[in-house]
Amino acid sequence: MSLAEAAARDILRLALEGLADRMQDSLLATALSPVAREGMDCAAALFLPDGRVLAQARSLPLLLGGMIPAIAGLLRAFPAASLAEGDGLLMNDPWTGGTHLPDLILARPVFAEGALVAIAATILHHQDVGGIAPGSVPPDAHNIFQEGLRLPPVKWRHAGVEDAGIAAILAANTRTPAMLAGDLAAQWAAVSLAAREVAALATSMGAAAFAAGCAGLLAEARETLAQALAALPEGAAVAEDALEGDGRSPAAVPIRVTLRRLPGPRLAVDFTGSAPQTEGPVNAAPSGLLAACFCLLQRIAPQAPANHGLLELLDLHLPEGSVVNPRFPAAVNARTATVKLACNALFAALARLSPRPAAAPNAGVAVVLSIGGTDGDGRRWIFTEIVAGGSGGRPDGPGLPGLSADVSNARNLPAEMLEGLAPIRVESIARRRNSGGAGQHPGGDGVRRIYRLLSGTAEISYRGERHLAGAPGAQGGGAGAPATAIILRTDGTAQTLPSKARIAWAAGERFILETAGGGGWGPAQQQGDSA
Amino acid sequence: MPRRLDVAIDVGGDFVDLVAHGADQPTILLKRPRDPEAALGATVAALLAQAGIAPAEVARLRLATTLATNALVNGTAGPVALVATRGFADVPDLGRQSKRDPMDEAPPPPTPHWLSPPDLRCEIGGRIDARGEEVEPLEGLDAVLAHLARLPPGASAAICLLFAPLNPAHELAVAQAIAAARPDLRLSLSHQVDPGPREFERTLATLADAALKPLAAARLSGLTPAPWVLRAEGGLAPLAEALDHPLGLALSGPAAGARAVAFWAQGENAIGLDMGGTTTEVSLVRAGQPLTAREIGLGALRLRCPALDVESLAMGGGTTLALQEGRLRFGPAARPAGRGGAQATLTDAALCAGWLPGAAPGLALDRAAAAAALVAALGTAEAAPALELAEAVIANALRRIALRRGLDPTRALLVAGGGAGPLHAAAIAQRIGARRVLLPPTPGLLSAFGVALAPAAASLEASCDLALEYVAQLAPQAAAQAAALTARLAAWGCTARPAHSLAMAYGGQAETLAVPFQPGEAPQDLATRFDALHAATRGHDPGGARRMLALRCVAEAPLGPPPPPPSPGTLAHRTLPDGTQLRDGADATLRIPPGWQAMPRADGALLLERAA
Repeated sequence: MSLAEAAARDILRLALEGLADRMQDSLLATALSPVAREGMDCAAALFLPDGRVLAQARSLPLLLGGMIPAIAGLLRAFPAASLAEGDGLLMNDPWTGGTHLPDLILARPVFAEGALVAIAATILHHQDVGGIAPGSVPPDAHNIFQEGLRLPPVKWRHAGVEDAGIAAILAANTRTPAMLAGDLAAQWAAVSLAAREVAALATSMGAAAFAAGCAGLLAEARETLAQALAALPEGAAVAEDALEGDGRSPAAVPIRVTLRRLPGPRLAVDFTGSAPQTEGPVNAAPSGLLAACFCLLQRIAPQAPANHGLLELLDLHLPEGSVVNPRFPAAVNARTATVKLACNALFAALARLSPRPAAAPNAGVAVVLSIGGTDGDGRRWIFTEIVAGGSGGRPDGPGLPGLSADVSNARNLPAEMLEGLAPIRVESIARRRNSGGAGQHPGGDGVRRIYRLLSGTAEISYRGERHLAGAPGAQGGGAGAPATAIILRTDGTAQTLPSKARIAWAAGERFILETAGGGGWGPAQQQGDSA
Repeated sequence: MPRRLDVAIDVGGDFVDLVAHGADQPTILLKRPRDPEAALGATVAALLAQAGIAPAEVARLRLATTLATNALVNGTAGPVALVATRGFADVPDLGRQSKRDPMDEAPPPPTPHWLSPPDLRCEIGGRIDARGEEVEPLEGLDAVLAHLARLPPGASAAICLLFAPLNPAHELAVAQAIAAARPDLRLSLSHQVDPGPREFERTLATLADAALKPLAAARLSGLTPAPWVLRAEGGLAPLAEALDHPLGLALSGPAAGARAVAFWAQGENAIGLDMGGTTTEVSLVRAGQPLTAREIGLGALRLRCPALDVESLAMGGGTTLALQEGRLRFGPAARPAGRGGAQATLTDAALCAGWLPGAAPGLALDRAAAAAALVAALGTAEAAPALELAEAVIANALRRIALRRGLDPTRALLVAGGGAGPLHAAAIAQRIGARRVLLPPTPGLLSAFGVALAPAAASLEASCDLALEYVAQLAPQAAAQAAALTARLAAWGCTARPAHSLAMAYGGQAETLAVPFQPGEAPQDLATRFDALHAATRGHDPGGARRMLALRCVAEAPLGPPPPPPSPGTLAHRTLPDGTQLRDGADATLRIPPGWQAMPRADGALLLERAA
């Protein structure tokens, strides 16, 4: 490839990635639900007409990768040839490529010169889609029907106009209809922006040249990954981690992955040996595991464009009926923990396979917290937030406290926002001192948040992990401290929560949340060697 | 009788520029390479001497400077002591928990360590709630004073308490107690520096402001006459005022550039492209007015601060070129810019492409050396791929910046300044679909000209959270803001023109839009205007509850008569075999690609138009 051809390819890549970033900007600017606008639990990407991913915004890998099977599912229901300008396709069904029910995926086809040239898509964690608990992430659910409204692929908009029947169904199945409608409007604005811009880009290049350019970018991703894989020795590595119960039973839920660098080169990822699907909601639909693998491939080939070319060298095996590929009607809302631990296992296996020294494991799982209640005056309130633990110590430096890692990139919820949303006094948001694993490069500390309910009653849906054992260290570094969650009752008694719990909370009581620390890297030199 | 000159100086990273004008005097323009070792006072004195201006002839000195930007980017300011609400001293370390680039394995900490060392932090009891009401009285002042007692003389401290913008009583009480015990300490109060919600962002801005106080006072005091200093929001303030809130000094030069772009836009929508040796500054103008922002970016730092909407890209003439696995990659600018020597730079590529003449002020241009550097870096003297990719990078950033503010880049006028802007502007315009490019005379002095025409300005902001129908409740506060600003500008000897705006959003949204308003206006009129603005900026009009989240007032006043537009000077014409026309001026070369027509405008600028 000549320098000029390389530059032309980079120019197209810039344009597409920039566009995906602008879709993300647009989502964040207009979204309403706190977990989307403050937590950034939303993502945007562009796809080719056949459903292969073309470019992603730099936002949240868990959702970016998770959209790939969703678009395939939408295209199975509405084949490319049937799509028309102004269509808005909507779904959240985990068995058609979705993630969990609060994540609604909205796609809009893009036309240029009369032909379908791309599909613009967004995914956003909506505040509530019904089910047995406010926030639609009940940690004790044991089937999908308890988790909320399941939406198979539907045509939510025709020629840009909302289908009144579908809109009515959506509004009737959420505790927060105005917020759901507003967030869907934000998603539509983002895909519409992309539709205009991609159409203009493809028209200016010519649809055929645009398609050829896109194919070149996919080829580049594949070739860049192939070079990076070739640098890994052929062989296999196994890593295992385990969830501390499924929300209904405390029995460990192992997640086991075998990574094989095959000739070709190709990479095989096999989750055989992972637990059978669970009664509780920690089952992860395949989309989440694909997101974890996508993240792994990006880690292996960081310079490659983030597109479907990476997946062409991947053989992914997810045993059916397992916690990583559950059969209908499993409960799936708490999948984040499973995907995050799968990600940890993938990176651990890669570290064993790779000659390059790797960072120590991060805290493993971010806490997902949904709290809803009624204040002293009878007003209802609800919010969802994501609280990260520490990142692992690195070969070249310490971990950071309270940092979203690998597939997650969620922001925290500021105290000044939280107190405006709910009758809660945030008494502290602090580092948990010395909770990061000791080491030459210590792990990052976990986070301590203390909330006091001021009036009325509430219900907490708590989804944590790493309550029993902390993140392991690497190269002789110490383990991070495990997570804890406690409710301090007004009579002075403390109730310790398990890693998944749905629990009542009354005015005057404190809820104390401590996320896990990251693992330390390298043997500690001396006491007090903290960042 | 001696001349009385209004002297504007822009102290940039590589050059110092001067524009001086006076009644019945020819305007003096000067550009000189900057001696990075020289103190600011010496730099200014030397430049005045080179311009033939005696100190007694300087009636007014206006200054834009990279001082604050450099100190924050390089970590040469601070450290700062922090007084935080009990339970929240770790807020600087926890930030917002996310990474700018999710794949970054070693992201920078949310607050640089040099800015807020943990052992300089302390906490104080007492709480204000989300409605601004005190729910726990202030408690523990003695411990705070004991903690601050060990600070060295003249050190700075930031006071950042929860919900202070809604009720500053606690911050003011703490400040009063500290001032009584340690009058030497320099204090920054979060509700004064950045009266907006979200504790981390406000704390970071307040820490940065406090960090700059000792440095700015040391470097800027003692200049004679005391300068008016240009702040990020695009207005000049007397030195004493600027030193009280030095965060505003960050992005001083780029704000000056944005002022100049707005001048040349003459009422139109425009995108400013100010491309120098190290960076490219992109600014936005709607209907002749520079757009404002609430955040400035300095390297890895994002700081909340009222500012003209200017984004800085790491792309300039000195940007280095390298080959990485067969792909072109851009590296940090060679120092000094444009004189890369062994390293290949964009300027070398432009020289090899035949775009630049053999000589330019401050740059030693040598085509053979440039070609050798290109071959060494890229294996070829072919310059076009690197130039095209650099233009595409800028064009892409420009699209994102413009569209995020709802400005259609295909209809905007692209105003090009800086030493390298006029060389690339038309090609970049073509990439973003713009049809018109304006090349002001003496484009290399764009920022200095902006300093010369900037008004005096000050602003006030108050947080609120109210449904739009209660807008009348804000009238007394709006009047108080206007009165306070009028009095402040009167003390500067200026007659203020206060203008009010509301930061509005639909209920639940995090990002606000600024809606101009007159106290007394009906809520329905504001609703209509906000809906239209939202539709224009964000692409849709979802309706729903409209909220007011902040009340702002900006007061501006012209500071002396404006400078006459500089004359374009003589341009040497060249034409390349592909039809590209080049015009070499004293401080920049203009490039007119085939398909573009150049027409001189009455004010001395050159308007380029692309055939439909």
